[in-house]
Amino acid sequence: MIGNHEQNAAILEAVPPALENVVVREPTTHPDLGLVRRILAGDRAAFDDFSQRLVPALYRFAASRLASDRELTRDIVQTTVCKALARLETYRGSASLLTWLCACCRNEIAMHFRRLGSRPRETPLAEEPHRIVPAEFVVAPRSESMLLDRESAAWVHTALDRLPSDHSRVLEWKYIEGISVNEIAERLGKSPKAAESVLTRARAAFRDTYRQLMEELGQPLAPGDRQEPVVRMSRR
Amino acid sequence: MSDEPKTTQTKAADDAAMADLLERSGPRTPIPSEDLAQIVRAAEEVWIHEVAARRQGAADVRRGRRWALAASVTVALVVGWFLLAQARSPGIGDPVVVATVDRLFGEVLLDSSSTPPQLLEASAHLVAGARLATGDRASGVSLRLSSGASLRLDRSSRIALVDSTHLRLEVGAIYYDGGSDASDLQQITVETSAGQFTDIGTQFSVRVEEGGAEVVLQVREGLVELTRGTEARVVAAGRGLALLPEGFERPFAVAPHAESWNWVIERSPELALGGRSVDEVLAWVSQETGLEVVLPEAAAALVTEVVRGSVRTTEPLEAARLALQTLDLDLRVDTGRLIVVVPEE
Repeated sequence: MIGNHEQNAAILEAVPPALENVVVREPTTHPDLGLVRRILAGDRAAFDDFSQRLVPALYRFAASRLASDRELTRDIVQTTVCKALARLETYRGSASLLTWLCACCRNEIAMHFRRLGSRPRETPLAEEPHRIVPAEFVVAPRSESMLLDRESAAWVHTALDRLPSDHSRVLEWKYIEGISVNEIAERLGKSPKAAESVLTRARAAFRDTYRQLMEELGQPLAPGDRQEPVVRMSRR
Repeated sequence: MSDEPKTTQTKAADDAAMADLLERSGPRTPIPSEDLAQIVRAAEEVWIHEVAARRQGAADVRRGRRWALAASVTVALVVGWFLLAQARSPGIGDPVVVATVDRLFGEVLLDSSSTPPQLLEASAHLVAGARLATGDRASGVSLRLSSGASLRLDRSSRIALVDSTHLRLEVGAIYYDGGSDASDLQQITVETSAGQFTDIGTQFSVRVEEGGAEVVLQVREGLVELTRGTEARVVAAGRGLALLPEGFERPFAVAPHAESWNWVIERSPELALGGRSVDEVLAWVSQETGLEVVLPEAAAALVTEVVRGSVRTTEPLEAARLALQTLDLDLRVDTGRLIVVVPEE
């Protein structure tokens, strides 16, 4: 999806400025630049924010591209994060810190396979769907083409990671395991009405978190969402 | 999914889209917490180092400005002092001592620009530019760099000490231990035919096979930055990397107590036990052997006792045994752990 965003940016560069729906926006720096400055200044809370919010997201991104090879994912993410911190001064805030880290991670992955003289064990094409879905999680059989590509799924899972565990748990029960509201109510030890209320709050929390994550990544909200007006960045 | 007030219909559509997204994402595998913890630990080490380096750099700049101001006022005095001092002090070109021999094994050849090749002597001082060559069999040397770090050289090795922070490894193996003082920012760079290795608060070894066919890095503690051409990356503790010809690599895992560190333990510098507390001795043993020290509760309060006498040893496990004996404690080694044993009555 990031790749699509880059392609979009390239296409937008070629759009004639006379088009009516073109909005010229002055170059702005991303709010993450403030976080980076605090990290560089030795602010512990800023570093904790970085490690708790961004490192798990980066891990999911890397795992989606490395066919969930645990050891390799850990090594690649560690190298990416350590190198990124060592050259954090070069972050200029033209994109979110997560986007910047993902770009660094893509380079690390490419370099890793170049050094080994091989391709990834399973080439993680953006269009490639999940191939392994444990049967116990699937209630109604879905065709492979209905599943999200690995990277998109990683961002949904990252949004779930960022939710309080009681929220992510009920969402997974309901939408991934296909458990009924009555059964969720039983598991929670609540009435069906109370369980529905927890689900409503969880959905709202997920919606906000996912939207925030997509904004961090500079991506459309979800497949099928309405398109934002075309934005053209002016160059200086 | 916009912020505008939603009708029941659009809200239902939103919920349906979100439900669809979740369903299509498939099951969420948990991120292994120990992996995440390891990554964050490594990141924190780099962050602390970078912050400290920035502060040091800023302090140097501020200090430089103050000095510049002071110098402009006192320039005449400085020039006078310099002219006087030049007549009395050694010349600018005098060699700088970068290391001292801590422990010597067998015959080691020293070649420096100022003297003809000769056998290295115990306690010798080595100057910048010195070249060392160890012999085969049990030869080797343990050096104390002017930064305070320990540098060890295995048999059949050749190095050039460019200065106290930079050495060239031509063949054989070196081991570097920067010590446990995290505030010490002096790094070492080891240059090899396959790339440069720079420590970030580290214990690590580099081995260059004869002919440079393979260069092997092993990181025991902290991090090492590897630079090959324009490419740089970090290798963390517990990991090794074999650099092969034509840019190929073979990563591997290496425990801090693995057998491949045995040559390093054999070249441990001598430790005087007298005047050190038992837990200080145990910390040194852990640093040298890579073993994790396990203390039973009954022994934890005792190990702050100071060892008396003038016992010295070069063998870490022997040092631990001797120190524990003073408290009537014993030890055993079990899968990477040094377990302190309280004898039964």
